[in-house]
Amino acid sequence: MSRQVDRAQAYGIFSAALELAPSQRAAYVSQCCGQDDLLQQTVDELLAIANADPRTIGVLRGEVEPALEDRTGWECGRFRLLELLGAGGMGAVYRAERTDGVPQVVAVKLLRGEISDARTERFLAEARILARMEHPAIAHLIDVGIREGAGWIAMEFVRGPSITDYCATQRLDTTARIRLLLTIADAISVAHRNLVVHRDIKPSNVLVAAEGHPKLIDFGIATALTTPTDVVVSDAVEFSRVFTPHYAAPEQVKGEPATVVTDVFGLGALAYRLLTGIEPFAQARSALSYLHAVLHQDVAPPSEVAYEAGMHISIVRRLRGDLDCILLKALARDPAKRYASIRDFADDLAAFLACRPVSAHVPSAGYRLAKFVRRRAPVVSLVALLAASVLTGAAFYGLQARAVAQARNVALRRGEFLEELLKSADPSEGRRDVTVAELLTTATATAERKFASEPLIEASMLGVIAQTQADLGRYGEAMVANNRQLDLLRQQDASALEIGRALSVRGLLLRAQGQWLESERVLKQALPAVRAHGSPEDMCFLLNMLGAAQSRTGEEVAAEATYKEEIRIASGAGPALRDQLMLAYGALSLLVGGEFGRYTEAETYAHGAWDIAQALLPADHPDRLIMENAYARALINVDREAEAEPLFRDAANAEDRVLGADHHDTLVTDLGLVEDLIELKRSPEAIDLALPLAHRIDRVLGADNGYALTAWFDYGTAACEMHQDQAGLNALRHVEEGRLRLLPPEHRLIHSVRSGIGICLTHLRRYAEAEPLLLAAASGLERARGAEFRPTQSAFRALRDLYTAMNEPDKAASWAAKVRS
Amino acid sequence: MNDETGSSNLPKLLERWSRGDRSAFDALLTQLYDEIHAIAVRQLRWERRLTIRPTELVHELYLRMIGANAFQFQDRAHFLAMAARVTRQALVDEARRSRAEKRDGGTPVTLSDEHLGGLEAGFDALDVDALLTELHGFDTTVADVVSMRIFGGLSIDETAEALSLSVATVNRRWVTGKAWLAHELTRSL
Repeated sequence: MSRQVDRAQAYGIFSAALELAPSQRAAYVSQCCGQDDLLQQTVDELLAIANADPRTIGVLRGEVEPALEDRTGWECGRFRLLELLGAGGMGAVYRAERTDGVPQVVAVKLLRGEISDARTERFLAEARILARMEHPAIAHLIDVGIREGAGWIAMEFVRGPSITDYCATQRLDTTARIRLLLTIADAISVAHRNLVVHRDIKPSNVLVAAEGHPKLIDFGIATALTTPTDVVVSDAVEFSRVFTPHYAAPEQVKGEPATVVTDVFGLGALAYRLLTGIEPFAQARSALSYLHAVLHQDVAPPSEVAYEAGMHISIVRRLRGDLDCILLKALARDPAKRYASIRDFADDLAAFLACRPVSAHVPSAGYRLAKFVRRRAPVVSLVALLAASVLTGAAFYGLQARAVAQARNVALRRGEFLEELLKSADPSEGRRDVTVAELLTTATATAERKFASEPLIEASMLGVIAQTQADLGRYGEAMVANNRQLDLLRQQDASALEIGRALSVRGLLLRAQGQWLESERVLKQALPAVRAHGSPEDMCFLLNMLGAAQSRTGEEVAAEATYKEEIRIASGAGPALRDQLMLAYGALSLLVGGEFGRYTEAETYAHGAWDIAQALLPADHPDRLIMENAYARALINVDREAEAEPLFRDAANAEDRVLGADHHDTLVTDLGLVEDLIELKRSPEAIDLALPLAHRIDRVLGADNGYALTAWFDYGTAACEMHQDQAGLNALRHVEEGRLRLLPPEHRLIHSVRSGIGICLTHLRRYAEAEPLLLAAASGLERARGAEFRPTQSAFRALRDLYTAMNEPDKAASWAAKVRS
Repeated sequence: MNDETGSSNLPKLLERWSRGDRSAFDALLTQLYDEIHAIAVRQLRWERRLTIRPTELVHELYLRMIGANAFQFQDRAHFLAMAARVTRQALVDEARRSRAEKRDGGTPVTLSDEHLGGLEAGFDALDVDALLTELHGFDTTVADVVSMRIFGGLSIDETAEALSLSVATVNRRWVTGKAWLAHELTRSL
């Protein structure tokens, strides 16, 4: 018809028109075409095609793919096709009804491609296998047949959204999503027992029917198995290289036979999508780039992907660790490295829900211990545990000071001991229910029994136990071990240095429990021996803890001297003790900033510590994170709050990942972030973080704890800021009571909290109560730390605001004059 | 063709090419041509396919090269662009041969691809080739984009990379070219 049309001209007008805004195209085209109607028509057709949704260009479908033709109205056996529901690589699915009047709606899948007479038997045989499968989560097969060479399968019609849509609209949490996955896993394993592999597990093949029952649909391309690992590829339907990006296993992409572990991958991919919101290899957008990715790259750990996608931190935390390991094992590129069966995969998911050990983990001492602790006790830290077993290897026992042979013996025995201890917790040995109590009782008993005739070795083991318990936050138990260790050392006339080292550990334990005075006493007791015989490292370790204790017992000036001695020793020891130098700088920064208000100096120390940390330590190292936290705190105090926030967040996130949410360091960094947000006047965010944090610290460290009180103080301050005055007041009163119990009455922290209470009372118009509190707090703080100290400044501002509210402008002005701009 | 020696040569040639050795390029094209042609012939004759999915051809080529090991895609987009070129040539040759063999016109070698949005039907490779040759005369870039997408299965991003164009430009050119091709092909159906 358009033979006379100048094709080059038509193309030229068409392509130029496409470059224009849609509204200008018509005018342009008619101007170019003039009176040439045929040309105009051709260009219009071209523009219409270009503007159409690609899927609606139905005219482009040729005749070679008959299955894709709309067969609505066809009768297949007892069923009449009513409506095309969807089409894919394997064929098209229709909603269908019974032709004999029995009210039954089914889904009929019309397979693409022709089934020759020779293959009919095979096709029907497979169908019989499918029909054998009975499971509430499998859409069951109703009938099967062949019409005009095309195979059809009638299945239960499932009304409901896909599992992804269902989870999203119901806002299901991780636990509920895993429960759905377990149901599906059960269905798949029933299929596997019937020697059927699904091969195409993906969200659109799992629908959720009424009342939240998931249903696996579309076993249409399932393949009958002769044995669980040996597949006879069906040739009833040709489907080579048809795969679903993001869900197809590497072996499918390669066109290799699918086995039960192919479904492990599929279910793993589905789980990944459900738990992270993102598909595996989401960055691979074309089929080819997926092929490349799935064959060459490892799947990104779910928790990382979720974190990067901005999922809520609680979800990221839930994924981190076990779920990461479980999903990565299910999605292993090498089929041999995946779970050997869907059952094994499901067992691990169920174990995760029940907080039992999962088998997916690389077996590690730390993991096993960590798992039990998470289940039974509040504090755990995998990395701390691993670090503990390394640390305890040499650091505290100065093995170099002993005969080399004996040192080797101790190390060897310790290795065997740990190995044996942790074996009892190995899930692969079928013991899934070992408790921490059991484990550590075993440990202590084993140590006693095995080393009864070798008290020094027993002491060494007790040191390991003490350290491990401490790293788990079980300070009471750690103290028991440490006590016995000290007894043994003293009985055996061990060297003063060795006793000094054990005392150093004792100081650490006491400090961790907030028993600052006792910690200081013990450390001072250890000091002479360590100073006389210890290495610079021993000395720095001790001084660092001593300084911390002194900072907390009103001996801040002595603490500064202690840290400076530590810095001197560490600097003198050269590069070997740069890490100690870093710790000393970090601590000194907190001291001179937090206690003395020498903020600029504090920033210099913190900067130094942070520089060393970045140069010396890997990104996730706990000490590096402490320095990041210290530097961020220093930045708040020099009015660089905005720079501090990303540092706090980075440190908090890494600590959460590395140490666990309940670890001391994580809690302290979270506290810093809250304080930063308060400084940044982002009180709503601060409150959201502070309240759960305060409860968490109460739970983990006990309520009468300096950190817990600080958290409640932060919460109270932020609440007052938000004019949630009564809640704020209650929190601050609680802090006041606690601090009065723990601290001397004139302590600056007591003045600080009273200043906060005064602010709250001012908001509540209880001026008469607020005034004396604020006056006493302001003078107390100024006396203790000077007028420039930030809490002092805050009290001055509070008095200015109080007198403004009381309508006493002269008094207000006199306090305003003391507020630095 | 000799599958064994063919595959084993490819990594070396690729490496030489990626180091800037122009002479390796022609050898590489010849080699890739043989590989692709062999795959296409096998699909058409032994597997009795009616329809060739060029993306599959390239996938299979890719997999063979992985099999030949030591294969790193430093420059994947350019490799794919090259694969698209040889695929087109191999298919056209095979279609001509098939047509010549059967005087009555025989079974056409048809193209299809799931990932081409709208162009998933079977089209005679010779028709497509002729239209692309004509289109090349109208608009070189559009013809290149369409050729890579259809014969190499390159994604929009990969096409953009291979042709050093922006993604937005490739998108526009692809819409233009696809519509043109669709119009011309369906007109003759």
